[in-house]
Amino acid sequence: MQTDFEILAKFLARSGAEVEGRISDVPDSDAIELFRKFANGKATPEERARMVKLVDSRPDWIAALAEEIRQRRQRTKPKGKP
Amino acid sequence: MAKELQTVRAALFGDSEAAAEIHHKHYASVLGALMNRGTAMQLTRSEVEECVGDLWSDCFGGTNSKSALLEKFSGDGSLRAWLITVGLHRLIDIARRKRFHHDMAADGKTSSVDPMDKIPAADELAPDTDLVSLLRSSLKNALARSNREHLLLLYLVYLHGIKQRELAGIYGCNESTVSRWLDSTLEQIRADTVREVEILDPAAGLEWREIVQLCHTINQELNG
Repeated sequence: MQTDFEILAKFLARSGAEVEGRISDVPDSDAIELFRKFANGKATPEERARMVKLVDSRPDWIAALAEEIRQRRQRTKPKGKP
Repeated sequence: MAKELQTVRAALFGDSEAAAEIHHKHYASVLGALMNRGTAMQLTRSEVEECVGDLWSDCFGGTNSKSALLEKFSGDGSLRAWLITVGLHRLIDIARRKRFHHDMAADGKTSSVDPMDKIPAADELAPDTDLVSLLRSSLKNALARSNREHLLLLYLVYLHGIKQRELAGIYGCNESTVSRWLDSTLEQIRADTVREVEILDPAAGLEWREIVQLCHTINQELNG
């Protein structure tokens, strides 16, 4: 079952000019570096603020940030566990 | 919610007490909510009453070619919100047709196109632009007031499947702290959206569940 937030975010994305998931540009290397630092828990408060501002203007990049966090998950998974 | 679904099923199987319970519980409040919306759409009282009357008989009265409308109620949300959503769509349809007839009369006899060709089929109608823009503006204004970082975390958790535990690891805090950030941001969005709807359209009389239900229904329509 979808959560309220999921429903609302999809509504905004589908009903108008929201850009999430629509722009195909990939994040630049500076953004990727910030995402990686954040995903590894190494971003300073200033870097986090910069990253938040960045994805605020490019919500389509949130997917790339999520991907970095997932990659960290894979890297830190204890060996032998599924 | 499961009890509501049970009552609906019982009513559909011919239990008159269940049908009476649904009527007693919802008829007046659905009529009231739709009357508010209908007035905002410049519909008359009798047009709204007729619409709600038809809605009610369609809810229970299936025909050979059409099943009873309540068969479509899945229990995914409250019955009141579902009835108002279905009713709103019907009001929107009536208001559109009324506008169309008004425009056609104003258009005069100059157009060479058969006026009947201009009427969109009911199932091809796009969601009401007024309603969509009311919901969009209210939500966008509410989101604009959110803590940007916590809003980003909401997107990561609810749209991209990132676990709250992982975010707690990133921030070096307890999972309960992340949960509190998310809950308070959701609460702010909820309260601000309801307030925005009230400000932009005081006659709408929409509650949070109805707003979410309407967005859900419109999403399904936009999906085709």
